[in-house]
Parts: sequence; structure tokens; C-alpha cells
Amino acid sequence: MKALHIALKDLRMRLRDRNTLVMMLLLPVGMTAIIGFAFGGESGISTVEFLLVAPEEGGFLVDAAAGFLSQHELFDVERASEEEARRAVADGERSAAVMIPEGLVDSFLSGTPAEVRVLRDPASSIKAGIIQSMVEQVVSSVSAGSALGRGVFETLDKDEPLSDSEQLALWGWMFMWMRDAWTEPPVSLDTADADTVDFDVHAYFAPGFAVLFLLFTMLTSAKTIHEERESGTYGRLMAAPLSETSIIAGKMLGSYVLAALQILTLIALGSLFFGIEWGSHPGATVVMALVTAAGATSLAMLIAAAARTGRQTDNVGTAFILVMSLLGGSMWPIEQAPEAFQRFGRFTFNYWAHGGFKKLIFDDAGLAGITQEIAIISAMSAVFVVLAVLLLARRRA
Amino acid sequence: MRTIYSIAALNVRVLCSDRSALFWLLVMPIAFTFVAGIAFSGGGGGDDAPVRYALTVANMDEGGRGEELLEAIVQSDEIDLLMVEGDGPDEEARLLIEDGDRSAALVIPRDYSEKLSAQDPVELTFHRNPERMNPLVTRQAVERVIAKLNAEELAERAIVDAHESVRGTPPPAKELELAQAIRAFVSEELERPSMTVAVERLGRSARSEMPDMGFQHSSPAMALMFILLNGLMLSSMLVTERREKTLARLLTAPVRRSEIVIANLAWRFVVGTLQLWFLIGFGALAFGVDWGDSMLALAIVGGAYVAAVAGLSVLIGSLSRSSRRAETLSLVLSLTMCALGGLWWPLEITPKAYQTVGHFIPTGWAMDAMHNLMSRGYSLSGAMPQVLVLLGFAVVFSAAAVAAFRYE
Repeated sequence: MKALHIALKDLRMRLRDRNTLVMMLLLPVGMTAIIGFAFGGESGISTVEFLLVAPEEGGFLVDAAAGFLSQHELFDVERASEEEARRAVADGERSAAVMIPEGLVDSFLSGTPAEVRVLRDPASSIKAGIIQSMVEQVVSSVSAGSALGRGVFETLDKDEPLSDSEQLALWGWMFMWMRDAWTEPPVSLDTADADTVDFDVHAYFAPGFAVLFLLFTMLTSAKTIHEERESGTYGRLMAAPLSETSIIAGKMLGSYVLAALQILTLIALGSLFFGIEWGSHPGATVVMALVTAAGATSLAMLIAAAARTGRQTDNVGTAFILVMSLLGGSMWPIEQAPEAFQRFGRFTFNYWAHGGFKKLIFDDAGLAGITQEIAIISAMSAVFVVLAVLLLARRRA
Repeated sequence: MRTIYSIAALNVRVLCSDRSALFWLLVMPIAFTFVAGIAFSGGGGGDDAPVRYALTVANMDEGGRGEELLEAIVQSDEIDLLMVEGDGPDEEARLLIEDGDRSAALVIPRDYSEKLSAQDPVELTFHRNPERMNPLVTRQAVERVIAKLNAEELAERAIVDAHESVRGTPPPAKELELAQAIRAFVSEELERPSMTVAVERLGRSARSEMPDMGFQHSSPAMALMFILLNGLMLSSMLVTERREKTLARLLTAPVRRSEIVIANLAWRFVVGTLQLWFLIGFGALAFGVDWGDSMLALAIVGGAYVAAVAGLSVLIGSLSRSSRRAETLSLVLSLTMCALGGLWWPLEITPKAYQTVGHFIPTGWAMDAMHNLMSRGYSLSGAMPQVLVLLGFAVVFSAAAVAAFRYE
């Protein structure tokens, strides 16, 4: 009962503090909105714009290449002179330019060397790379077709020199044959777009930021143990008929209720502002939220217990939370990191908390689907609480 | 001038004696640069290694041709294969993509070798997550290998059909001879294709080998981020001075208001500049970061950015009523400006509107200037537009700080 009074007092103080509310609600919602603004487009990235430098009379190959390069909705190609292209790429106005040489058709027919040039803006690591890879694919296909066509002519001619009329007939035949052969090639690649649940960038990042700022709020809350000591109010509490256990339990309870309120409110705000569907099992979502709140509360309490002052709690705790959030994928899609990096992430609270919410949202998992996350976070919480209590007891001694 | 120096030097001394402040100024940026550098490396094997992309593979082929295909893909130097083994690897590969655990998967069917030998068409399946960029590159790499393979496979059929068309059906011995001849020709041609792609990187990388991603991006980005974060957090010191009445005491001293504001700007500028050069030096020595050809240009760009941050810091300190308020405001502004200015992800992949917003704040311009110096090889004149804009921010923030400054 005494612990409850302390919890309510702490809770009232926190909720009256506008700075706490900014940290609890405004920042996570704001960061989710910014991420949505950055990556919320249909394809996840903006259009890849590039320039095509090609001879005016480039022939069917240039037209085919230009057509192929602009067929994907992701690409936006414009023709330009070499001078314009070099200037635009050097200044970073375009990520890359593709320069098709004179005599490409001659090269196709006779095998004379021809070099397609890709100009890259060195400051563009992603879009320029995509363009380069695409050009390499086109050139590789055309080159393979050329080798095959010339192989037929060369082999027949070596076997027995082709007369002019045979050459002419062979050209016509070859054109039709290759068209048919490439319609149904020996090996083809069927691209199947995975039936992913509509990827919603807000839904991906909202739980990550919720976990991150939940930890910050809990750190501020746990820090009050030191602040009360430093300001002398803790001593006054000790003078009252209260055991230290009640005080610590009251503080942890107050923090936990605040954490639960924060994460449940963020879930509600996510639905309200960004239309996030947190899965079709509301009970599982609430359980995940409450378990996450417990994990964050106990972790912050452990950090505060390990620190000697409020300042130290702030510094060490903030650094720890930021590094853990980076490793655990609260701030960016960890799935795109190298494998070794992802393995490190598994040691963080953030990884499992964010992972649980992702399962609820994207896999439509129920309670049974997130038992691993719940078990791991619960185990972490228990360890954190025990360690925090031991450290506080040792300090008292 | 002496007064400004005294106030500034005192504050720098106070800050340098604070271990936690030094931790945030020097240690945390390095830790973040390291972690972000590894994360942005995209799985590359080192600074000089090409960026490699992961492709999940379910090879169910019962012959040996599937292995040959995979070897050819690996030789492209772009792809790392992540094999899926066990029962039903095709289904498992599909689920890995659907669940978002992997970006792309190639499934080679059981009868791949058999169909190739029988000259029957065979279809490979490429599962991809349409929301991610990696499959764009991995699919093109697979397509390149398949194009070559198709040319080789079609060669024998083409020569027999061509002979039939022009000279009638060849006798079996002739057919074999022609098939061998064309196979040899096509294989040799594909080894040394007549059409090639030459990649020309403009700017500095035309003259030197530079890593695409990793530390080359994370070092400047994290340096700018922590200069901003630490610089704005210092705003709370001004509030503390006001709360503890040390500013009010200065009213009794022969010190002008402008001198106090300038001193506050100056010491923040000094701290930010020292931090910047420490991070530049550490980045170059520990992570091999190439900071560009002109140290002078880097110094001027960095100086203009630090001046803008110092101005904003004093402005926040002047406007805030409590240290907590100053810290909260600083955190909100820092995180927002980092995200919008391209310090967390390259602005090039964001929509045009986002890029425009990113250029209403100093971070967007500072990152542009860093790209111009470090990647494009611009000299100071090339980075001048960004320097002028950053100085403009510095002037506006500082003027506002002077106007908002109060002793109590």
C-alpha cells in the first residue's frame, strides 16, 4: 500500500512534466512521421533518374536499349549530350549517365569492340550502383546474342564459304530464329514478387521508436532514485515509517505504470495518425506491450542502480540505449545489415521487443506466435530486476 | 576582446574537466561511427572490397548443372550465396522472403539438369521482396549469367537449324563437327565479349580508389551529428548560469551584453571545432577515411557548420527557462535535423520534397558540402554555396540569440 502511494506520487510528477511528455509521445510520433516521409513512397525509394548519351542515328539497338532502360517505373531516363551528362553527374544533379558509343550495331554484327560507358556520381552509392548493374545486364544480354549470331555465320562460313545470296538469306533467317529462341530461351527467370503483407514503413518503424523512447522515459524515471538522494527527499522518505523495499518497489511500480501508459498510448497514436494495424489479436498486442514495458522498466532501473549519480545514469544510460537501439534495429532495418551484425543485435532488449511487434503486425501472429519474444524479454526483466535490487542493497550496505 | 577570451577560456576549462562531457564529445561519436560504418558497409568485405549482396538459394537440381550455374553467379564478385538446405528448401526460401528475413531468393528446380540436357525449356524462380533495393542488383547479376548460358545452350541448335535453312539437313558427323565449332566460338566470345561496360567515376574517385559506403559515409555523418547533438546540449549551460545568477553577477562587471553573447558563441565554436578535428583525425587514422584534397576547404566548411550550431545553441539557451527544457528542445531539434538532413541515410534515396525540406536546415547543406569535398573533389570554391548558406544560418541564429539573451 505504501509502495502504491510512492508509485502514484512519482506518476503524477512525471505526467505533469511537459518535457517528459515530449520525450514520451511527441518524439516517437515525430520520428515515425519523418521516416514515413523519407521512405513512405510506393517503392520505398525515390525514382532513379539518369541521362542517356546516344548517337542520333544509333540504330535499332540504341532504341531497344533506351526502351529497356526506361521500362521499369523506378527509372526515369532523359537524353542528353555528353557535355551535359558529364556536368550533371559531376555536380550531383543525376546519379549516373549511360553513354552508348557510335557503331554499336557494327559491334553487334561484326564483333568489333564497343564500350558502353557509365558515368557515376561518386557521392551516389546506391542509385548509381543500381544503374550500373542494370546497364551491365543489358550489355551482357546483347553481347550474348551477338556472339551467338556471329558464331552461326563464322562456323558456316568456315565449313564452306557463304555466297552473297546465302548470307542474305541467313540474315533474315537468323533474325527470326533469334526472336523465337529468345521468346522461349533454354533457361528463363520467373520473377515472383513475394506476397509480403503490404509493407508499411510507419508500421515497421513505429514500434522501434516506441521501444527506443520508452527506454529514455524509463531512464529519466529511474534516475529519480539518485535525484531524490541528491536533493535530500530520499532521506526524508527514509525518516518516514517506510521500508527501503517499499520505496524501491514504489518507484519501480510507478515507472512500470508510466511505461505501460506510454507504450499503449503510442500504439493508439500509431493507429490514429498513421493507420497502423497492430495485428488482429488485440490481446496479444497488449500482452506484448506490457511485457515490453516491464523489460524497459527493469533495464532502466538496473542502469540507475549501477550508476553512482543521476548525471552518470543519464550519460551511461543514454549511451547504452543509443548503441543498443542501433544494434537491435530500433532505428533502422537491421535485416539489411551484414549477418554478423544481426547476430550481435540478438543480445539486445530492443531486438526482441521490436521483433515481437513486427510479428504481430506483419505476420499477424497471435500470442502463440510471440512466445519466444515474451519468454526472452521476461527472462531479461527478471535478471535485470534481481541485479538492480542486489546493486541497490550493496550500495545501502 | 580580453573579456571575451576570459569568459570563453573559463567555459572551455570547465567543460574539459567534465569527464562525462568528454565522453559524449569524443567517445560516443567514435562508437557510433564504428557501428554505423559496419552497418552501412552492406556486407562488404572491407573498405576496398566491392559491395556484395546476399542471394538466398534453394538448389534442388539433381544433376550437376545447378552447381555450375551457382559457380558462375559467385564469380560475378557481387553476390554472396546463402544456401537453404533440408526438406522443401524452395518453400523455405519463399517464406524467408515473405517474412522479410531475406530480400531475394533463387530456386533451381529438381529437373534443371535433365531439362537442359533434353533441350527442354527450364524456368528458375526468383523470389523477391518488391520493397527492397537489393533484389534489383541480385536479379540483374543472375540475368547476366543466364544470358551467357542461353547463348551457349542455343549455339548448337542454332547452327543445325541454320545449316538446314541454308544448305539442308547436315549429316550426323557434320552436325557434331559444327556443334563443337560453334560452341568453341561462342564460349571464347563470351569470355572476351566485344561489348563491354566501362565505369567512370567522376570527381576524386576517378583518381583514387575509394570505398563506396561504410566509414566513408558514417564518419562525416556521425561527426556532423555529434557536433550538433553536443553543441545544442551545451545550451543548458547558459540556462544553468542564469539560474545560478552568475550571469546576473556579470551585470556588476564592466562587460557588455554583446561581449557575453560573443564569448558564449566563441567557446562553443572552439569546442565544436576541436571535436570536429579530433573526429576527422581519428576517422583518417583508425577507419582510413579520405576527407578530400583540401584541408582548408574542410576547415572552412566545418567552421561554418560549427558556427551555425553554436548560434543555435546560444539561442536555445537564451529562450529556455530551465535546463530540462533546453535539453529536451535540443534533443528534439538534433534528432529532427539529423534525420531530415541526410545524416542517418543518404538524401539521394528520399523523395524530392524530403530533399527540399532537408535544405531548410544546416545539416542538409553541411552533408552536401562534405560530399562535394570528399567524393566530388571540389575545392573551396565548389563548396562555397554551402559555406555561404551555413554562414547565413550562423548569422541568423546568432542575431536571434543576441536579441533573446537575458541575464535573469
